[in-house]
Amino acid sequence: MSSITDGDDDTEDIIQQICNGDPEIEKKLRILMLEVEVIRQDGRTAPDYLNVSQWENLLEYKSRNQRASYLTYLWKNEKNRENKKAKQKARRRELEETDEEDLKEFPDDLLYGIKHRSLFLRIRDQSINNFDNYRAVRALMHGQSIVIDCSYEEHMVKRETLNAAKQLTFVFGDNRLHKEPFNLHLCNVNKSGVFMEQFRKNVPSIDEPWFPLNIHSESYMNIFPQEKLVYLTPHCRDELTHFDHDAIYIIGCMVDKTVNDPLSLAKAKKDGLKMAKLPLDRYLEWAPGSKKNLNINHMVPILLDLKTTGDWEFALRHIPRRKLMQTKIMAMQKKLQDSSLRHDIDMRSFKNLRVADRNVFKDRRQRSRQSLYDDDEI
Amino acid sequence: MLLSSCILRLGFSKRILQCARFNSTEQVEYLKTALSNGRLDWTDVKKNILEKRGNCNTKNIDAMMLKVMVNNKYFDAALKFADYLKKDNTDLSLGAINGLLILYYNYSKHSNLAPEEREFILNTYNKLYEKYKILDYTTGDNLIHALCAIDEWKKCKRILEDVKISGTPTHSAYSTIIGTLFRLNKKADAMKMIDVSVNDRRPLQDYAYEEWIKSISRKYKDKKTILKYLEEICLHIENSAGPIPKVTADRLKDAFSSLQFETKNTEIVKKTGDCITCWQTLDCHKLTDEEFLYLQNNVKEKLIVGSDLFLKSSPEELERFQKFVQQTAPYDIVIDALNLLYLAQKNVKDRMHILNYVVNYFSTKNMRILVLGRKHMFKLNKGSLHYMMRRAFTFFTDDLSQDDPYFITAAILSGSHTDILSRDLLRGHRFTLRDDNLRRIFLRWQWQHQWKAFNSKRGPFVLTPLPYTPCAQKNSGVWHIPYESEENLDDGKINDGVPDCSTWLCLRPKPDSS
Repeated sequence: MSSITDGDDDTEDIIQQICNGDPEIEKKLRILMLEVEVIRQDGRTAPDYLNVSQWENLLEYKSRNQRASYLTYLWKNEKNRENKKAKQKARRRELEETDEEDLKEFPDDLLYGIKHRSLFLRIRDQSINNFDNYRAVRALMHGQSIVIDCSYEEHMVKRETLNAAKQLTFVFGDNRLHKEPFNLHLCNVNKSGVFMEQFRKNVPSIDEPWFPLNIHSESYMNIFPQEKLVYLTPHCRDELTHFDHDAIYIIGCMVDKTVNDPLSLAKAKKDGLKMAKLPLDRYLEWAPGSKKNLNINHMVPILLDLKTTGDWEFALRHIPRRKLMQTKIMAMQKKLQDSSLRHDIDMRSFKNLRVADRNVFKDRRQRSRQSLYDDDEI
Repeated sequence: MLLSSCILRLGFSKRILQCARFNSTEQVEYLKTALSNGRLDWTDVKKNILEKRGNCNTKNIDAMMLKVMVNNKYFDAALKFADYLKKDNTDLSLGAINGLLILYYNYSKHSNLAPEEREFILNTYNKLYEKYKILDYTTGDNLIHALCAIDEWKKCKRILEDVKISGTPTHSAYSTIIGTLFRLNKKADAMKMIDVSVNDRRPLQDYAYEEWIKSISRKYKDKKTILKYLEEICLHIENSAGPIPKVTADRLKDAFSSLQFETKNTEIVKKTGDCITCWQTLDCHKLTDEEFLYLQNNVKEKLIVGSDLFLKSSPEELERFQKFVQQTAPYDIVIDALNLLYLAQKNVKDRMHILNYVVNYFSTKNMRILVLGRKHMFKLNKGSLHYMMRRAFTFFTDDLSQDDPYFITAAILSGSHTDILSRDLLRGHRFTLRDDNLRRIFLRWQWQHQWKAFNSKRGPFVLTPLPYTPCAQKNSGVWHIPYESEENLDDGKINDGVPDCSTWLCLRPKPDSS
């Protein structure tokens, strides 16, 4: 069979690498390569070049539409990279053309700034990391334990697993930023799975002995006493009324965008643990259609703030604004204002509709994260 | 402050590079104007298109131009472009080949193809298979359509096998092959292909039906034989169980009218199943014993256990339920108590009142009742709860378990005469029965056995199950067939489990036909 691209030896190498001599897989791969080439020539979107892991991902998809969406995603990334490079080139050209003399208002001015004179020492990322790691190590010794259950990998699609790894990276970062971090334990970890692979890519030093994170491949039942464990799941009925400083809370590390089953509930039932959910409805008005399954990178900051202050309103500021009813109302009002119905409906009756504290909108997620490291606020 | 003013002066933030924007229509607009002007210097046109903004690039420009021309029906220009491409380079790109195949297929719908074009299609088939041993689904699909246009159906079968490796073939592919087979009077092959298509979840499109009807009227002249074969079409519609496209309904209407049938677009009264034209009632297709047995064997596994028993319940509860059913089955009716309690939304007092009303309604008819609820119901009015419990068997699940699978399973395991009472449409539970056949059986069971209760100003009332089955059917020589309506009549209507009954076809033989 002749090669599809003109004289490209890469394709044969790629085929060799992926198939390892299996004729079934080789047949599928060749058909896929033909399919991608036809898509490129047909006017639909496909990247010009795919590497080995991208071909492997493509092989795993079972339906045409899944492959088409994946190819569109890769195409968009490729175009983004090309555009960025083009922009950088243009900038570089401009920079070369300008002259330093143009910047000075008067001839004997002194210029302050990055390439000229600078007053301050540069504080590098590593120094900040060291400050934060000191807190994290102190938490390892004296802090309250919290367990993150990573046993949901088989229920997640590859994209969701990558998202979960990204969220866990945020969890680790947000935790050590806080004034009183938790002692994080990851349990039921599959050390050779996709999740850990991505997590290792995000945080390369995870396997080092000095790294302040506990990773266990066994279950939390073997490490902690059963009476103290409380599983936090949104599918149960009992609400968490106050933060118990002796209990060990378990949070499930999963992204369940596609699957709606109460997996964490099933796990807690199977292990016979106490269950609780956050009292979201008591303190916030939820928008219709938004899920109450919170990400772990929202849950852990909520628990951190709750532990320190005991104030639910303050802790629940970490929930993204898009899940709340007030944002939906503001969005609808804006839509009505811009639409042609504006003249038909009397907008005055909608103006004061149930938005209790408009300052909530200015309090975006960035400011709520500020509370993690800003000691004066607490 | 100085730093920011430096940046502003250099204008970094103001320089935005011109990038090719996706979805820009400049190229397509230019091509359309060029075609309408009649300027047909192809190299020039191509160069101009590539300079404009849009998503055509050197690789896909041939295919894109052909597609634009076919979509806007500039067939003459397209044929001239095809000649230009074939003469220009001997080795056409895959995209260009695909575009040409699409062009020839669409052109053949209006007028016959010239011999060079037929030859081109055959040559392409041979060349593509020589070069690439297996084709991908897009090229395969276009090749199937083009080969059907020149009546080469045998080759299509081979391509169909190839397309199946990368995914399911499209509705259009199957229907085009079936239509071509009918056009060439190959009825046995066509029927086999119809089976394959339906099993692959691809119901027939209008083209297949059109050719089927035409082949019958071509082959037979005697009215009785024509009627027999037209009824075969109706039988197929009945078994594949979906509404047909409106165009097909019109064709069937014309065909039956020529046989001296009274044909009319009618409506079915939702409550009773009467046709408003002939006032006949539709039949109720009761489940046969084997179908019900099939349902019984699968329901517990799929509804309650599923992939993980703990997701919906727990092992102790399942065992408790099984013991209970063994002791107290069979029942005449199983009531979903939670669904009933939900009817009285505002008043807490009303809840038990509705439940007691419904239980009384059935106990006055001396029926064996099972009420299924959750343990939190014990917090309701103890007196009325005990009153109800004296008249019916009761089973309460844990607060954390799902109660729906339990009441459905109790009803099915109890026997084929047992009814259920719930306003729930049970769509989610039907989905978990993964098999298509099982789903259809479950739906018919639901239509036959599901009672509903409503709350109104005058008090609660109970609605009996459907007395008919809303599928295509023949009773006393009259055919009733549903078809898809043209406007979207679903807007603003609440789904109550019964499909749309406003667009049906009533085919009735005239009383004096011999």
